[in-house]
Amino acid sequence: MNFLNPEALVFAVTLPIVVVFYLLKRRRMVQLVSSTIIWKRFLNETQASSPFQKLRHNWLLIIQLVLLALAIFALIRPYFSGKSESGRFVVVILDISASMQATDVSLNRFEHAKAEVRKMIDGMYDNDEMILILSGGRTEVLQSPTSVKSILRKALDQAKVTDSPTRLLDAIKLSQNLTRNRSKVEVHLFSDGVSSDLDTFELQDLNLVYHRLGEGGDNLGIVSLEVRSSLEQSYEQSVFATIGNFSTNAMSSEVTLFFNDQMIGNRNLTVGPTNTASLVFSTNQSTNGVFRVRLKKDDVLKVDNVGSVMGLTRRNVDVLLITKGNIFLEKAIRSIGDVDLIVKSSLTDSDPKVDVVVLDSIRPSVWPMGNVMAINTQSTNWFQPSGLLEDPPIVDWKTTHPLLRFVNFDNIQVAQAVNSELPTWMSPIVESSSVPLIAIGENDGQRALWVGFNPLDSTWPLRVSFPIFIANAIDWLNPKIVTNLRVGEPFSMRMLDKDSMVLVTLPDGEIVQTPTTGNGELVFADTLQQGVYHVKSGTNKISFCVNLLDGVESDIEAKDILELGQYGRVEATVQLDTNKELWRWFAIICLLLLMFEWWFYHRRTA
Amino acid sequence: MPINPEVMETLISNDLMKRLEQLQLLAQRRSKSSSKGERRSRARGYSVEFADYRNYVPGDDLRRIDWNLFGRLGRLFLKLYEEERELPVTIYLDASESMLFGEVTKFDFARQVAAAIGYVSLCGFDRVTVEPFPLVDSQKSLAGELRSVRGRHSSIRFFDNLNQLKVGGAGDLNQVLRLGSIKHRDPGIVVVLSDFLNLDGYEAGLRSLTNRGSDLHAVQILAEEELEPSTYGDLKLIDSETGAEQEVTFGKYRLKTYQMTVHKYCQRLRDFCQARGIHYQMAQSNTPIDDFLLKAMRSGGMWR
Repeated sequence: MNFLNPEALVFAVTLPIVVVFYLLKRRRMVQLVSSTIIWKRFLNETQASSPFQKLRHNWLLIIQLVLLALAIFALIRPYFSGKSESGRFVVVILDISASMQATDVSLNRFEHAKAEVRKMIDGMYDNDEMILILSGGRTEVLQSPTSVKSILRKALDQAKVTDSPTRLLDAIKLSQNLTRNRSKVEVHLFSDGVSSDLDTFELQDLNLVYHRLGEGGDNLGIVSLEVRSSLEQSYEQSVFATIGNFSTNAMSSEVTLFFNDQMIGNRNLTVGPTNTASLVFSTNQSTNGVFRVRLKKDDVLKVDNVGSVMGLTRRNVDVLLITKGNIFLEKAIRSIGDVDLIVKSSLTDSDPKVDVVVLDSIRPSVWPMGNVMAINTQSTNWFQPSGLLEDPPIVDWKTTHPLLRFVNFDNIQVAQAVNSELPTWMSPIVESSSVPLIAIGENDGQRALWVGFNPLDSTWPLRVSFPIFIANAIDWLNPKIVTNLRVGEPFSMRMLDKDSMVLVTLPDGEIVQTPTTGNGELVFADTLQQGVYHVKSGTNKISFCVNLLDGVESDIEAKDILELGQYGRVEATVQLDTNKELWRWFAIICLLLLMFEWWFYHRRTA
Repeated sequence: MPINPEVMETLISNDLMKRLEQLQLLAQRRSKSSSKGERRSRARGYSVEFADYRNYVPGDDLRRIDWNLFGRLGRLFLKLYEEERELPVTIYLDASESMLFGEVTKFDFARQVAAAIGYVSLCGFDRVTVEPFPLVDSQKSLAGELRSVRGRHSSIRFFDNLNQLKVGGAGDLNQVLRLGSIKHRDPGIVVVLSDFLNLDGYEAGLRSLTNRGSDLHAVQILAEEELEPSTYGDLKLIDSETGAEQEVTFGKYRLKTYQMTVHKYCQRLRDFCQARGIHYQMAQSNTPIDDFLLKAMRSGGMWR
């Protein structure tokens, strides 16, 4: 059995009240009388001797009749007819981005929006359908189309605001897809309009109603935060923070820096109206830890007053170069800062564990552990060369790939290259007309960079692009774990154990168990909260920080007009037309009348 | 022990007493009492009222022969005169606990009425008996002194005795009247002063009195509180005589219904009395006694 309006069960409270009324023992006044004979006769006469009696004027009767009439009236659920029509398909998009946490309206914008949506649900006709969509950093269908108000209310109660930036575009596009080929469509957007991605959307026939939430107010927010190690001193770290003022008045605040929850710096900062100001904290921290910047200013949006960033001490990359002798390559590697290079002529089992192994014209019997750069390597289980190719021209290279950043192959000639087919997990990034010259790939968690020619057989070592490429290659082969993310960005890192369970502790203390992928990679995407996340896998622990750092989100001025694409404009509506049922009022009047009747009855007999 | 004559005034004022002295009890039937008195009777005796003639028989008193008639007719006739006998007046006075209610208690009112009737009777040389009931042991001697009181000179003691009567206990009206009808066989005037609020009713008692050929008067005395109760709300009523409890919810809105019930109760008694030739009077205990005695009782055929 389902109930359309289970909230009405709250009126069940009146049942025990009525019982309590009857439980109250009436205290009778003791009266000595000459004789009870006449009283007995009086009582006998007043008791019903016939099934009907003459109807007399009695206020109690009138009150009870009114009471019953009101109860019946409430049961038939009367309502005022609004502008809504029956049989509608209503899409409700609820903004759950960080700016909805602004407290410029009672409670906050999000709770206000929920209240508005609740009213809309209450005003639905029985044959109306509604779908609830949450729009934050990600778009999520909270409730599929239904006419059952209790389900919609329950789903709405589960909606929570996040710390993520607003991405209204996806939600609007989704609603457009959902409402295609449907009639009587209404799309209601409950938002503050703070979204930067609406320019690309062309509003066509979508009946979009924008319910603006929020009044705007003074807000100071952290819009960027970064920590960098000094190039000279590895233990010297600088924390850069940019504070934005999104009000029309100059605002000042104390900015405090914490390292692992210990205050290590405090400054007063004044930011001009609609302006930003930067500050730098220099610290000497020899250990890894979390820097946290906090604005003390009490403004309407709290979420952007705090930012956290991981401070990691610099560590050199260990590179093992196996070569018969390549001065250019060795110099190029040594020229990269933060690299500890070991040069050997052959690959042995006793080689130390390093981050990157560079094989220069060496054919390994077994590929070494770790990431590998293989230069001019032939006849292995990965590559089966079919011969040499003389003077291959370089015809194409992927300039957008991070490996080839600032690398140009325009004036490079190669004398000969290995004519080899690539394994399936590799893809070329520099190609000749028929063969790949440089290829990259990842095999079972191991990154590999293959150069299909000897640089000494080319003009490349004489070009500036060579050391740049080597530097890029060492960077790519030694990927750094990104420990500072924006809200909604996934965190990924390679774990040693494959198919193991990793415990991630969220900023609010909740612990989430996440499995690693088949190749030992952890991808954690539930980063909708701002703060520090702790990952634990066996005895290994790592932390990463998630921040809002979004100037658009911090600018909490609610937009009166939503500009969609080049021409689309949706103005905010102020009032929501809904069918307002009146039965609750009648029920309340019934209750009051019941109480009045009780009082009246006792007053009359007192 | 000498009795202060002022005791009479506690029951009946001097003015009222003087007016009562001018009244005479009305008896519809001739007295059948065996004692001499001042009331006409069917018996023949030696009064001045001529009654009849009868033939002379030897042994008759020669002084009573009508010699004028003997002169005219030559036959001896004896002249007969009416015998004047006393009129017994019996007053049943309800002294049960229920009579203790009212601003002027019902018992006080009844005692005043009894005193007035007794005084008129004593002035008329009739024999007065007051039967208070229920009779507690301490008052038995007092009740004895209230029996067969005669002569105006006895009125002070009569009043004093009446004054000393106390209220208490539960009275059984029917039994008292039944016993009274056996005890006082001579027909005369019988007055019942009561509220007639008895569990067992009053019919059997009154019926037993009617069999004796007396002139019966029933005076029902009710307190104002019984006619128009002023206490409202959820009440637990306790019967003063039996201690029985009765729960009732009473409000102003039910007053009329209650008064209707009282009226019906009284009307039933009135109808019962009328059907049996009993004079019925209803009095509220706070009615001025003068008005009741001189107007209501006179119009009710008690005296003239």
